[in-house]
Amino acid sequence: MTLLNFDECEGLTHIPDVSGLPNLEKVSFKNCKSLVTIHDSFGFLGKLNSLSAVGCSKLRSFPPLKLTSLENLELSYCHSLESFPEILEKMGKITELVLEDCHIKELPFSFHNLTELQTLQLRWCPILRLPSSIVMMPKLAQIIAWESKGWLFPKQVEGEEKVSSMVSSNVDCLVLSGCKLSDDFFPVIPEWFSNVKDLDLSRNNFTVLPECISNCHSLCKLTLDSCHSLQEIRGIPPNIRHLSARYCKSFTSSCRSTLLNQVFSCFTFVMYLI
Amino acid sequence: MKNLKTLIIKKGKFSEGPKYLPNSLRVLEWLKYPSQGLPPDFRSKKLAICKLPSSSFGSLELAEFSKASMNSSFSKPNIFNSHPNC
Repeated sequence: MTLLNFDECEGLTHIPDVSGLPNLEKVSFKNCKSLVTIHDSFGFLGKLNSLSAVGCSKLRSFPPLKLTSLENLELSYCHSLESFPEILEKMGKITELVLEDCHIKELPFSFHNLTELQTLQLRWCPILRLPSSIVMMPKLAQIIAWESKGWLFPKQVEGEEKVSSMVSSNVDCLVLSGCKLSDDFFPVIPEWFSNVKDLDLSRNNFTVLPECISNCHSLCKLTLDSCHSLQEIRGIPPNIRHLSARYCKSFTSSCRSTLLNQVFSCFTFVMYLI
Repeated sequence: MKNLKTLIIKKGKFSEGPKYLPNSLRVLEWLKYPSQGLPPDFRSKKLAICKLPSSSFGSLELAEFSKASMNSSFSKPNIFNSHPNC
């Protein structure tokens, strides 16, 4: 058996032992609305290439995964799933992961075992905490999040492997749009995302763009559109080439002149300010 | 139909499930399969593709199905060699 599809089977409450089906390559049980648990054997299907559990709204947990052939993992719209599965060993085939409308609150430290992950997309997720192990993911170049209810950034937690605070992630595109970010968020950028080139912070709640943003030497594109509480800009990244701050209703006049001065000091600077 | 290898039903409406399915089946695709399980004497050892979306299958039936497939170290049939998903 290589392909198993039990999409929309409302009678399924549990995925049983599948160790008798070691050749499975593609499994789908989308929208199984009664599904609550999955047997641990599921995490050890060595040939599994694609796994979809989209829309299993009662699924509470996912077994630890050791799926070395897995390229496609779909867990969106699992409203009861509060934790992302542990990744037991290197799973080097997944390059993109999209989590939409999940209630996953944090990604485990073992997340770094997704060694080839390049893009992480999160939409309509609740408060989510990134693991400090993201600095051990050299291929991870894009983190794109929209409409999160909050965002907690990596911090060293007791019991986790020690990660040097001197190391920053390789993320060069960070989108955190509409994620309810407040002023205490900014120190995270130079600490964990010092290599970021494109930073989109549109539709957030912070009031000040602090001076520490000047420490982001790689940053060349910054988007602050519709940050309605933003009043003041205290720092501008030194290599910025493109700044968009449209519909920032609370901008003070001194803030506008700071930005305009920046335009004159930098020949190739492109700025949108309405 | 002892040699039937592929059975695909996408739009049929049946009041009850089949009493018999040939053991030669490699592909079984049946939208809204009307029964909770496969026929008791069906041996799924040769089955490579099983798609039963929107069926009445329950967890117990799936467990039996998985058990029945156990110890069937099965190599891919030739008909799927050109199929990228198989």
